[in-house]
Amino acid sequence: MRGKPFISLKRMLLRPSWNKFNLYNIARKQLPSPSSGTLFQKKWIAKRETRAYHGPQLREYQLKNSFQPKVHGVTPSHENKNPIPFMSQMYAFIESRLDMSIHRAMFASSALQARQLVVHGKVSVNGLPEKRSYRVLKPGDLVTVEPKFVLHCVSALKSKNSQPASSEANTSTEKDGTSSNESKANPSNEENQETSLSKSTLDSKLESGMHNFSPKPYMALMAFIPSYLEVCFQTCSFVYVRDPVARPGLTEVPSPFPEDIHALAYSYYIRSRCMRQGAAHRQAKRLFPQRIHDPGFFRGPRDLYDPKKKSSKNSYSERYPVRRTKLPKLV
Amino acid sequence: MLLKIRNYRGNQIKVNALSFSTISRLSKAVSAKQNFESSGKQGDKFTSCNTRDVTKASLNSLPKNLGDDKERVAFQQWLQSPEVKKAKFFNGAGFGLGPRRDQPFPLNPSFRPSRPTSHSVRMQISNEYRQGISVDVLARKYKTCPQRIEAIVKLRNVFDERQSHNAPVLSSYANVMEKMVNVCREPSRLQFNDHGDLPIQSRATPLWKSISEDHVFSPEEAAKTLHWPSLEEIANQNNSVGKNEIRGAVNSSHRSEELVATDEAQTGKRIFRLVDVSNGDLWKRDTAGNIYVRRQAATSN
Repeated sequence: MRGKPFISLKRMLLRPSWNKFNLYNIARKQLPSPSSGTLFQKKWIAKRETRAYHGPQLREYQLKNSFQPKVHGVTPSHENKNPIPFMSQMYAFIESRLDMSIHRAMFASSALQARQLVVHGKVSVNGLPEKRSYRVLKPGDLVTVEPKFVLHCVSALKSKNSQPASSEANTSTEKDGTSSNESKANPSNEENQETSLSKSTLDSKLESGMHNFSPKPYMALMAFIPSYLEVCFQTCSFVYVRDPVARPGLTEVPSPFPEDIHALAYSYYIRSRCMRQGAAHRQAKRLFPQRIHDPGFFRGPRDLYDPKKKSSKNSYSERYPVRRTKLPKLV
Repeated sequence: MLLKIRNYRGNQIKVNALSFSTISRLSKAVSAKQNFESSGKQGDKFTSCNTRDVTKASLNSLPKNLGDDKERVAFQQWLQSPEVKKAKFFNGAGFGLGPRRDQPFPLNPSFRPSRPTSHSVRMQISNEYRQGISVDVLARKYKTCPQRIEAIVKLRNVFDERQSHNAPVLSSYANVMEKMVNVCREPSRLQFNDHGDLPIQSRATPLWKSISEDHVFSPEEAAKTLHWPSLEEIANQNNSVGKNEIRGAVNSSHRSEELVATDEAQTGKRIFRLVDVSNGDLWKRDTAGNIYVRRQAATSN
């Protein structure tokens, strides 16, 4: 049986996407009334609404596992008496994921498309290829996406060649079957030769990016770059400067919902977190030294204090061990 | 009150009667839908938009699972509105869904991203770095954090590497995107909100300290207990002059508060706090019957 549609005018769930129906939903969205039902019902509705926007590509158990109850804030050294919206930092750990950052840097039209870019091997982090969309970016990471595919994701469907326009949800299907191109990072794969239609479309998009670029329709309605990214459009690369952080009166986590909705969702997730973890586990956590995000304390370039040199052979970092050898077959 | 209407496909849909203003409008709606089916002529005033644009073909081209006909018609109307039409193929003006230019989401007024840097400003900063100015000095000059300067230098290195490999230059794409995102091209107008940040360090367990009754626990002592950097160090770092209040310290600092009146008859259990909305002054009456005023400082943000 088919599931419910991802973007629906009836359900009005907001998604991380530039889809015109989604933008219409964002424009006309009304918050649930504060006197709607019981406390649990409010928490549930808040969780449903915020989860639809923050990480819909994640399963619920994945989010519960990666949920961090610690929310970070920052205060300026000069006087500022505005309240700090801590609860808007609830989904900050999702924003530091590789696929979400690519979408925030405006290199993909939706979080799912950004995830597809990563999985298909068009993205490299700190010079090394990265195929894991769940990779959490650390401050200082440089992410580069291949310009040809960025232009394919971002430019209007009807180019000068007037190729038949596919539906907006399947914009990346064309580049699935593309075989050897003049790509620098990835070696050419010997797959079935696609028709020259898709190759010429990609090249024409690249040419249009150089001379006359036409953006995706209605993209300008959702055009912003969050403060924690530094994006260079010439090279289709960006740097993850720091984690998103809450400031007096401002949040850095892009979210269409105000702080009270996030607070309700936080109270939903913190309950299940407490239920799952045992008391001993919590006690052990309290004994660990606290990791302080001090943006004023600059240690210098990463090579100085991070002596681990990653060779190109071993492209995966030790933080995310990936199985290299095959498991023995069970007979 | 629910009404069952047959739409032009012959399917029954339930519609709330309150959504239509009059029943005559309802009948017009039914007739309009029948008109759509029969001929592509101009419908009645029900749709209140150019029916040339909302022909049967475009209604059918939208997938059915998005919503019912009324919602899709309303969506088509929204697409024809002047703001959205301007945004369709970006022409250079600034707009978004929110009420302000820097507020992208209408419902979230606290998310206001700062303007990103332009390519020219990044080149300028990286040139200065290459001339020998250190990261800290540059960060203080442009009022940002040193991590951002390092990021800008990294991006410049990537750009130079691409240029040396004679890769195609995406000038048109970069220009359009920078305009769309409202990039800041003047270094004097850059505002990152990065400058001089103190992390808020929360504790898992509360700290207790027993002091004598007449001892006043000042914010400086609190900072020392928490091992926070002293105010002089912070001021030297940021080259800023003046007293600053550490946020995590105890709120009542009697230095900035003036004792206005004392009335011993007014003692009570509760502490009253009032804010004067016109000035921003904070009036406080504590348990001893003293009334304090904390005047709003002139140099606050």
